[in-house]
Amino acid sequence: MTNIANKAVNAVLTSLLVLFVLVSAFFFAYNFRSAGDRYDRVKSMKYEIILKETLVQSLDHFPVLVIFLFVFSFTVLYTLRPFQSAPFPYNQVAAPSYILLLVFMTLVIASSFLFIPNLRKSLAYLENQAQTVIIGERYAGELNGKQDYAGAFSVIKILLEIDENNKDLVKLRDDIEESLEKIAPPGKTEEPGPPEPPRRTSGYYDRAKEEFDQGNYHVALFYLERALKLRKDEQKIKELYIRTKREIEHELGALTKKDKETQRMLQQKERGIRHLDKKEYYEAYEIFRALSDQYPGMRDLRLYLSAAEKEIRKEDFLPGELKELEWLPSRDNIVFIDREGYINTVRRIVYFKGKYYFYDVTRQSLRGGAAGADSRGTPGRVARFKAGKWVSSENTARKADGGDEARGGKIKPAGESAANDTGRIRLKNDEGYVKTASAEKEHRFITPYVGPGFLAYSGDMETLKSLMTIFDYLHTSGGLKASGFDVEGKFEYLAARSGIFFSVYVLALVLSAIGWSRRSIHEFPPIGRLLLFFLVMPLLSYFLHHLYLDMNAIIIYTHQYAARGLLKGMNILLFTLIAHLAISVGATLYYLSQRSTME
Amino acid sequence: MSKILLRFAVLLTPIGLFVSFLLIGRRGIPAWNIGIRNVIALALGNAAPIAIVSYLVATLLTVALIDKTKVRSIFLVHIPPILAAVIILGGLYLIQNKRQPFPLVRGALTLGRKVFIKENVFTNLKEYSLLLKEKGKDPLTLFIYDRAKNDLDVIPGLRFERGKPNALYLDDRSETVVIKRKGAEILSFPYREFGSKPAVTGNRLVRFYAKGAGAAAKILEAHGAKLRRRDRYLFSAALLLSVLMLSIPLTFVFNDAGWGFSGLTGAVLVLAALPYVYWGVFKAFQATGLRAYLTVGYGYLFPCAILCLLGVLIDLIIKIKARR
Repeated sequence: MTNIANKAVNAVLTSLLVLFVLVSAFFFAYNFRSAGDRYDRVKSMKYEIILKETLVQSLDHFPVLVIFLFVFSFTVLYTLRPFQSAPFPYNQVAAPSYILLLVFMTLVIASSFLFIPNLRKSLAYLENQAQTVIIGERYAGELNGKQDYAGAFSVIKILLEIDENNKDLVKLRDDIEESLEKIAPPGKTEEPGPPEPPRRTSGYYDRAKEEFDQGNYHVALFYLERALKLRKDEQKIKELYIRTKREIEHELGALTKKDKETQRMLQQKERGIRHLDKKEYYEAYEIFRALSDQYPGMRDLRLYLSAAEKEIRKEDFLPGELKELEWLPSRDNIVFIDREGYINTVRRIVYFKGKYYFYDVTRQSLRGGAAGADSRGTPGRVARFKAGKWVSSENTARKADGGDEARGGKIKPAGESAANDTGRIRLKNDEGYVKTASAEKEHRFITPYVGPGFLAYSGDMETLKSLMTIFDYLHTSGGLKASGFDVEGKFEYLAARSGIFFSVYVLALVLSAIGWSRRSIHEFPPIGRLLLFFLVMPLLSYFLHHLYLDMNAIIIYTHQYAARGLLKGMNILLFTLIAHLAISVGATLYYLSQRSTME
Repeated sequence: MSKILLRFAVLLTPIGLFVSFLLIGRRGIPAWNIGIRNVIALALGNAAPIAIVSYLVATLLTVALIDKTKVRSIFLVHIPPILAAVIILGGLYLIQNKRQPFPLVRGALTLGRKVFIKENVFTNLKEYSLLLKEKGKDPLTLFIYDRAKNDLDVIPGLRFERGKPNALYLDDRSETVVIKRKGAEILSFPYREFGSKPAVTGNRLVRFYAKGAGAAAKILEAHGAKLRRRDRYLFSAALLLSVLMLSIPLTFVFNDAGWGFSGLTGAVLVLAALPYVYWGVFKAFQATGLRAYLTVGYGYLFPCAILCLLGVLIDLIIKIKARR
């Protein structure tokens, strides 16, 4: 690279950096001012939110910044002293600038397709967290005032998970704890819940051995039975199983007193296990629930009960779950079409720890009938459900939850994965776990075309579109349309986005060429006119960029007419690209046609 | 003059499209659902403002890019633009004089329900979401979701004629979309509610400028509305003359022989400032004791005359400064 080319690259890169910092500083000051006292209750998040807002706005304006930078370079920068030491051919600044333009365009494309939507998702998540803390603190205060200390404490625990250094929350927690200690009966300790079963055979055996050594024979029995299901010929498992059974039989004698009763209980337990093995979890749950109520000392029964419940909860839930989370911030008034051909409305969607909850759901068939509230429903009536929860199979649920947590998912498409699309909404009124017959499933489940993170934005297409990356669009645009959302197809989306990139390319080249052909011959441009340039040119770049986007919209608009006639059936993206390529070729030729000498 | 006419011809189509879509957006009609015939009809209906704006931009670009060193007389810079204006606007007047009334900013749009409501997707309004479900050749079903009440209403057998009991139709007089059930009007939505994000006016800068230009147009329209038909034409001509006489020397001031690009930025600044200048001058006349002059004889031309004089003054200053 020649000396002049080096200088040009350095000058452009330095200017870009300075401009980006200036723009960011402007937006930071603006956002800081407009935030006011909105985030005063969540100080730890305030700066993160403002910084991310600033970054989104700066990246949003990056195309305009690049256009302005190129006009500035060819009009002012390349005429300043470092470039005036000796005459140089035009291509020594034109070639490196062109390469830099291509690099900047890559950044524009990446930010438009990926960075900005992802940042917006992260911002939406943070704002939701902040909102949770603000609402939750108020709600906990109310509960504390009503002397519902346990309720207030559970809310505060959630809030401290989000904002652990919040002094107000810590103080409120201490107050509530103090109140709880005052009213709690002395010596009462919380009974530990059933331990989490290990996932591998060796894990089952080790855990069983551990429990056996501690004298927890019932728990050991549970693990050994699990281990034997997987490796029934392994000698050491068998031996420990026999020893454990012996210990339990000895204990049972003391517990039940009557042999007949013991036998009946064991038969019941065997039945329960058989149901579990056949994946009949509702039946197993009923048996183990009755047995654990009858024999609370037998912890293996509780473990079987929790194993059955865990499986049930993959497709079912208790409405009480929703009542506890009612205070959380939500997205309201959702309406969408599902795969079964129903139009569904939801009063609120609440997100909590990777799970979505739906409040007050109604369903009505698009064919005129209604979904049954209990079974089939009466045609013409709307079926209503008090509660709904997003359910999916174990593997997909885990993936989706992990993805959510890792990305800081909230009510947003960020947490969506392909797996989530296979999920559905389980509907309930006030009942407990209820097994649904396959004929009933259409009325007890909603199977949407897209995941709940997308559904939450049903009334706000602009926000939804701004949160979607290119992958979200390619993956879900069909589903969103089928759900009744007014979003463009993937080709329309790509055609619309192509306008941004071509705008940067065409305007930067054309304006640079005009700037070069009419560049300053003063040693230093007159200060007044330079100030005028700085006043007008950024706004003009912004205006022209948007004008180009409008022109792109007109090109897309004319496609419907072109595709009817001369260019019958031509893809909209191809049509738009051809139009832009023609303009770009013209712009490139004009840029390259400039000369070193003044005209 | 040839450069002005050439630039005018080139700018006519993009500015025509821009103005048309701007007007569609300002009326609250979703721009991209409207048919091309409507766009053309609107552009023809607004031929006068489109021609004036195109002409003004063409003139100012020409003055901004003129080689200052080759200009012998500053006053000669005005003559070609004024001559071109006379040719363009005279022709426009002769064509449009045959059609009464003079369609200054009127565009007869033929709107259908598809402009406002797409089938099979929700149209989200302020408080409602509407879903028009197609079903072969049968009448359509309209689902109305009331967000505030979380309530879903259904109107089956929907027709698009005003006289039908279950109907959805456009009322052009009140500019609303009306929904009727069993003969009774149950809901009506102004056009504006459907076009929440107009295409061309979608960005803040255009919205800000359109606001200023709208305010200037309003005050000028109010001034012209009080005049008789003949006086109104005279006022329009004087207004245009004052615009040319003021903006040309101002643009010329920014034209720098050593830095050609600064002329362009100057032209942009002049174009941006013009509506505010006119709004300011006419507001000053209306809000102060000067308004008495407006009602006497040809007094309505007084503000335009002042602006013309201001232009001449700038010309003189340029000339004197150049001699020194």
